[in-house]
Amino acid sequence: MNKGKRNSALKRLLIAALNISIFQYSIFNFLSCDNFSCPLNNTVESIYGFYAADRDEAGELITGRSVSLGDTLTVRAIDIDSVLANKLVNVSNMQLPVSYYNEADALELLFTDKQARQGRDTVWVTKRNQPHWDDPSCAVHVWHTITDVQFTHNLIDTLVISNPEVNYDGLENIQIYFRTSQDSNEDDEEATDE
Amino acid sequence: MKTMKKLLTNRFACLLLVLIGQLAAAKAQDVKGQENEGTVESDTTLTVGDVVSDVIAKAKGKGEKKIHFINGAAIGADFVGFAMKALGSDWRHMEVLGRINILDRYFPIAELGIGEADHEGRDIDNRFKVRAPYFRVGADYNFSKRHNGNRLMAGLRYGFAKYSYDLEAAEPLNDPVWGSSQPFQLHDIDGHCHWAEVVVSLETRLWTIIHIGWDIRLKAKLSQKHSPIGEPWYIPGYGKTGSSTVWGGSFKLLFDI
Repeated sequence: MNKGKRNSALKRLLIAALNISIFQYSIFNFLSCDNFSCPLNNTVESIYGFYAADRDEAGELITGRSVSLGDTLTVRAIDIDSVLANKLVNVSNMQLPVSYYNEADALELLFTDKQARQGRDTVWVTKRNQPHWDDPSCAVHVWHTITDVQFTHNLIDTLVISNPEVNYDGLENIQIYFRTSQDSNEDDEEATDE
Repeated sequence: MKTMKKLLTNRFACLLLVLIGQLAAAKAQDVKGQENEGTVESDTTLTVGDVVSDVIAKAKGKGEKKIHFINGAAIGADFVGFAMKALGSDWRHMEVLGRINILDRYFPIAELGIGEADHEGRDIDNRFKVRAPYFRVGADYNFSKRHNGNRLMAGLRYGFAKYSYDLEAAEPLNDPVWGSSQPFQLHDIDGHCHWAEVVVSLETRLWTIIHIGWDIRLKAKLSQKHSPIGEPWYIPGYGKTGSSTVWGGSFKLLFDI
């Protein structure tokens, strides 16, 4: 009789333990369910803002006056001879793709005014490339860190790296300061003097 | 917001059910013991009222045995990891523990384990792999007044893991504009993580020196170092990442030594 009671109690305990463990496993799975969602805004592009190159009396650059382009701007990746931005007009910034694996991208900026006169500048953007992922269920992207910029000075006065990190955050990366009409007049005067 | 409230309500309901179940199991064991001693004659049908009465009776400290300062030690293992492996989970752990019993009230504890994960993305063939050891140290406090081996405990843990993980994609990573591509196979990416845990546990004596018990833990990262490539999907000992806190737990078998 005692043996029977012991067996019965043992069975109850084992069943209780099994129930608890299965229940607990269910709870853990429930509590730790996969709740990660991939970022909706996952476009990795460098953002260029357009500014006027105002200067104070000492000749120092005054930053921050945003301008819209009056001319038409077309941007071409030189190494692959591919247009990255076509005939932008009246914009104060632009977004350009960045190569995944090149150490530097060479970009040609072609400006065309209403009289069909053209001006060109070339910009070289040196960067580090870094693969990035958020979750195994999300696509892998390549993020970049801009380390240096070089440029020609036909219409561009200065380039400033405002945020070197090119990722999803949508922040402006490079400020392009265009020469103002005042600069052009001074150049014309210098040319006339010469 | 409604979904969140519903989720929390469900969680607390589940926890309450398990608490009542565990107390009922403890009560059944006590009744069995008392019957064997011939002190109580009753059936074993349990109600919530019985359980509450039992808790009050325990609070009065009936049937205590002599408690020493160092009242023993125990070693054990967690079986949740084995269950997860058997059920085909893509992350799991194996864990052993050792603890000291001070006055049957304070339980300094050390937990050592190996955590591993081999996980593929849902609709994309990205793969994450890691296998590394981890450890935790901390202590539990036993709230039970009666020293009969059935314990309701709460405690804190500090956890640490140092690991290397692999990230692989089946397809090369293609540059859609420049047209170049390279394989995405990154191995041995180093990282480490420190975290803290709040633990609530219940345990009951199965036989003389054998205890079973389980706990639920809320874990929060204290600091983490990972590669700029991205955070690991799973951290050994901590669990799946993706939010600032995670829930975990264990189902333990313990042996008094």
